[in-house]
Amino acid sequence: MAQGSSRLGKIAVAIFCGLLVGVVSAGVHIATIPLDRTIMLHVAVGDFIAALTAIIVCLGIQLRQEEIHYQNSIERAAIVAELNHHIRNAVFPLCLAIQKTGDADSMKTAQEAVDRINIALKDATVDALSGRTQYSTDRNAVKVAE
Amino acid sequence: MFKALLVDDEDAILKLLSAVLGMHGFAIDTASSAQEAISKLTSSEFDVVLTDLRMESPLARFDVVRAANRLTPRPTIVILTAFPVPASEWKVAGVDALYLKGTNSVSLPEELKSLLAQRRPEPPVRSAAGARGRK
Repeated sequence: MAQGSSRLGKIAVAIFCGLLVGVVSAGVHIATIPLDRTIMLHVAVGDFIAALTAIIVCLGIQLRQEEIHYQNSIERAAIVAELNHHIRNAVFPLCLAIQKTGDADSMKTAQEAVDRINIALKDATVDALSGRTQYSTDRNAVKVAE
Repeated sequence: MFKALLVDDEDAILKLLSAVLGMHGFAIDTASSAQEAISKLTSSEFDVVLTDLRMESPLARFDVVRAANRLTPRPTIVILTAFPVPASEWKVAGVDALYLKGTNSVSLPEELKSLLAQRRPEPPVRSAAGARGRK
């Protein structure tokens, strides 16, 4: 549903851009070219073609933007998946080592730590895929670190 | 006692998981590569095969699973991975369960036992009164 409305929005923007180009160029031509019916007809056809071209170019630009967005999302997903893999592989032996000792308190503490890591990984995955969080420019993060 | 083949390319995981499962009554054999696991599968019989997916090569993902699936009787096959795959993929490959590394490892032995019990139900234990009645 959201994807459909987004697509309609993009088409609407493209049509608006086309209309804008058509209306502006027609206005300029009406203001500058003498009112001759034959010439005006040719000019109108030219303006219409310009409007159509503007619509196609606008849609193309939006398509390219979407492609870049998806490409970045896939790259981010791959990085997060790899990170996930390494963290889980590192944490698993630690949990097993604690489990081997048989100490219930240590096992509980380890499980809590693992749960926290899992929550953090899930949050990081969501953030990375949505692209909403810019960790590098997060001033609050710098303040906390300081 | 259940006999399990543990396949992972990380020695620490092999050693520690062997020890933990051993504490819960499993007899463990290990393999550090898909090739080694396949040769062990052909030479010995196992109740359960626990295998990682990412080992010596990216193409070796389901090699162990395929080899285990060809065996008769077919062992219970469990994937133990840090890189989850979609359920549709591993179920189609003939895997009985997927266990994600780094989640609750405490429950793993019991979950394995219940999985094995589901697949291979133990014969019903006769009650003492029933046994006496027959005599």
